[in-house]
Amino acid sequence: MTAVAERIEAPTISEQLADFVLNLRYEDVPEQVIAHAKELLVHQLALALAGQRDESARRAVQLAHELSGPGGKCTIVGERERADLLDAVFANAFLLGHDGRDDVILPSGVHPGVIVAPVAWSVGETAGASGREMLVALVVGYEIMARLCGSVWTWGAKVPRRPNNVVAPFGAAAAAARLMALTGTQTVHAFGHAGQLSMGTAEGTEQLWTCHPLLARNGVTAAVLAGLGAPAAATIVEGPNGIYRSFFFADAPVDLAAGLDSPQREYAIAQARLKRRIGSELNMVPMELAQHLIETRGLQPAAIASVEIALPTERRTREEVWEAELGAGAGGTEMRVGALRFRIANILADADIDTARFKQAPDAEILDLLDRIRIKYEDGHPIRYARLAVTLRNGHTYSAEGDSHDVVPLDWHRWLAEHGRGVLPERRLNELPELVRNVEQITVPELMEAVRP
Amino acid sequence: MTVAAQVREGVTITEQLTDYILRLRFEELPEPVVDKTKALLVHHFGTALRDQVSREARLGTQFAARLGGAPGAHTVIGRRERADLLDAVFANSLLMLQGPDDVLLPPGINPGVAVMPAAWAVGERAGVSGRELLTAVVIGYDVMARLHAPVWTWDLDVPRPAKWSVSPFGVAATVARLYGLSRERTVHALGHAGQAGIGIYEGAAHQWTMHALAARNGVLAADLARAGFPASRTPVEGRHGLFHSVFLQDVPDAVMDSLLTLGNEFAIMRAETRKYPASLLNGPPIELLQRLLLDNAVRTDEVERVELVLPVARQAREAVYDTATHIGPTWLMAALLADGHLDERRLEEPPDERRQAMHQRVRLRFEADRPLRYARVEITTTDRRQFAAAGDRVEMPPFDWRQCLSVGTSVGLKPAQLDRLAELVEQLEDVPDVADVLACVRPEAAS
Repeated sequence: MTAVAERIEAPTISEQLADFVLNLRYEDVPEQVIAHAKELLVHQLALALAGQRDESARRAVQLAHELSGPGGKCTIVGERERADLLDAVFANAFLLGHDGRDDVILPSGVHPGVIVAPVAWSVGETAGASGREMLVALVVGYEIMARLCGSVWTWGAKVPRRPNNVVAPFGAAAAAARLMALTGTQTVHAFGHAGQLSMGTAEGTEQLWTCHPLLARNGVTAAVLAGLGAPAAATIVEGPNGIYRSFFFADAPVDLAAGLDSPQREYAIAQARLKRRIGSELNMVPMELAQHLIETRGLQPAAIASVEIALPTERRTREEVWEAELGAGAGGTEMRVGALRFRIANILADADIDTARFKQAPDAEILDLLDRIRIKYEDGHPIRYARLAVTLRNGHTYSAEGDSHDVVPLDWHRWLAEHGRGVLPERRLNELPELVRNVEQITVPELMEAVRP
Repeated sequence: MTVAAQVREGVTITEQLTDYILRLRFEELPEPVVDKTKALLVHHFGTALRDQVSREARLGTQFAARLGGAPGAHTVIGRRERADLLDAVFANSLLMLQGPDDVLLPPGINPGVAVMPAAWAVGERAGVSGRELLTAVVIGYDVMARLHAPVWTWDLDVPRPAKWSVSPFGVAATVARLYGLSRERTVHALGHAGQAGIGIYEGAAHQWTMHALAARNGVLAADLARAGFPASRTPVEGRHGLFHSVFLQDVPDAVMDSLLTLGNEFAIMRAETRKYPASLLNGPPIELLQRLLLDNAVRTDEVERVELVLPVARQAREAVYDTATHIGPTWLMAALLADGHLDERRLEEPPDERRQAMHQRVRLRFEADRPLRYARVEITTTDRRQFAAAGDRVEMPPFDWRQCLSVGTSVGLKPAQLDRLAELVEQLEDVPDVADVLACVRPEAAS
């Protein structure tokens, strides 16, 4: 029975979303959408393997083991020892998102992959789900997060915050509900709990990378609570005290769940952009513009008098969060990865991205360049727009602008080999692309075993 | 240095709280504070040791079983099975919610069900002394109280629950102390706690898991800091911190003033245990109606109308609780009229016909200039007699430790174990390892 049919009244948004989560069939999903989901999967597994070499992510894995104790049943990517469900979700989310290259959907800026994929892996492993079911769980998880964000630019709300703070538990709960085979009512309750477990403020940037793993945990917790019979609000999205009014200070759009039952619908997962470089997708355009100017004009740091970056007005609040810590000399790696001025200074100094810069406090050269870089805001531009104007000490000014950048197709073998080297044996890394390509033919436990040393 | 001077010096609220968390010594706690803390520990053990057939008890146990691998190392009160740290905190918090917990007013936070499960589980993990646990519990109450006291969130355009936003701070403070974290890591623990606040008022009827989830988040916040993950040092007063993001205001002066009293005024002394299975604020109207019926020998079926008058400050609150749940004040009046008493298990169920019929007889209105706890109940009988009473207090019976703990036999604890439990809590400051206390609340320890 569908979630809507279980109630007589007009369906709530949660009920409509629950119907989509439970009723979507693998056969309904277009081939190119499945292909993109697999590409994301390769991207994510590779990032998680690379995370095993990151000191911060290693600490997260260690914490997961400590909290979990022995006897867990869920794989942590690149790790021999298993963990309990929530701790494995936490560790895998941290590994996947350790350097911020997880995928993103614009213009909302929601990051579904770092939430939904770890949930699909661990819940799928626990449930012994098929690869086919896991793909569907990924599709519904992305869809729910993207739908709930809709066209809301959360940085422009009365209380600005990252969209994932609000919607991530819903995506995790959706994927988990599907793989746990919750009923319609239970799935609605899972969303009800998910809304209660939205959390996080925009204060500080240091905890950015711990936030996603915690939100992913929360979403699974929501589904588990619902599965155990704990009820929750069916009106969690649009209710008078629901997430829209509580977090976005607005009414939920009436068409939020519209078209979910249409065979011609578009899928949010198909819009997810894979990041090759470390940093926010919103910063990719200005970074590429900076690199382009350096390469084409042969700019040297010493010759630069000033750099002006024009961004859309909508970005102001977001950038101010990063700037607050950059300006105060506070913040750690996360701040240096996310702050646009730091990234541009990094490119001007090194003519490329030197990731070693992220791990250390800015040196004199970077501080000197930071003093010369200014951001200004302009109305009427798309969210990814940027314009760079570099003025040299001799008075010449060079500028470039854009609102998109090219994404080179992912070479699965190379991407996995590059990121998984030293974590998994070469033979295993060579086998992974084929395994993902035919993931419908295997189970999630088999997939996870393949990424366990 | 004064608080204002510290702020000028760039010492954040979190850093000031941290200094208190690290500095407070057991020897500085006045005797009444120690006694009150012990009494509350016993009270919450007593609640947790009830027959454990409640929805809370079932969920706590099933949750750990659903998620866990091998058995953990942490005691679940009244159970033979142990659980992982966070699952034990979750289960014990739910168990402590089986009956009336404690509350700090206004606006109403429930520190015991958050701080105590965390203190026992982390205390057991770290092998801390009873003296250290007592100190850590006092600290948890103080941190929660300092952050929430001046905020009445019901007046916001969209009200937000303060309790689940501040309880991770209190829990993280308690846990940071028990772990013996450094100053920097304690600041980070509170920074993570600032990210860990949860809860909105939608679905207020179903929020009985929230205290336990917030407690778990607070422990995790401290564990993240222990593992070396940094966090903001301005989670309270920052431009996007707790006050601006949740309470939609600058940090009130009252918060800054209250920091000055850390170490001199202990919030735990203001904690009140609830007498009835209802919000502390609903205690006075319940008591008034009971008294009116008893004193005037009015049978419930003789009551034609009940007029309940509450302070206008409660209006927004009751717009949520009294309309969206069946545990608001008019529903509690109806339950009293229908059943003659308040049965907490019945209150969890949707109202039956009789309770609904009684609810039709209850009217609620609000009056200005009344203190928050004020209530007036006016009843009219079918033969036109009228009685009224007003008040703002509930008379609490004396607290009997051994009677409170005696419910433990229903979960398989032996009387000797319960006597030992009372003894150990009574002399908690002399207990070298709190694991000895927890051994008294596990049935297998009886053999």
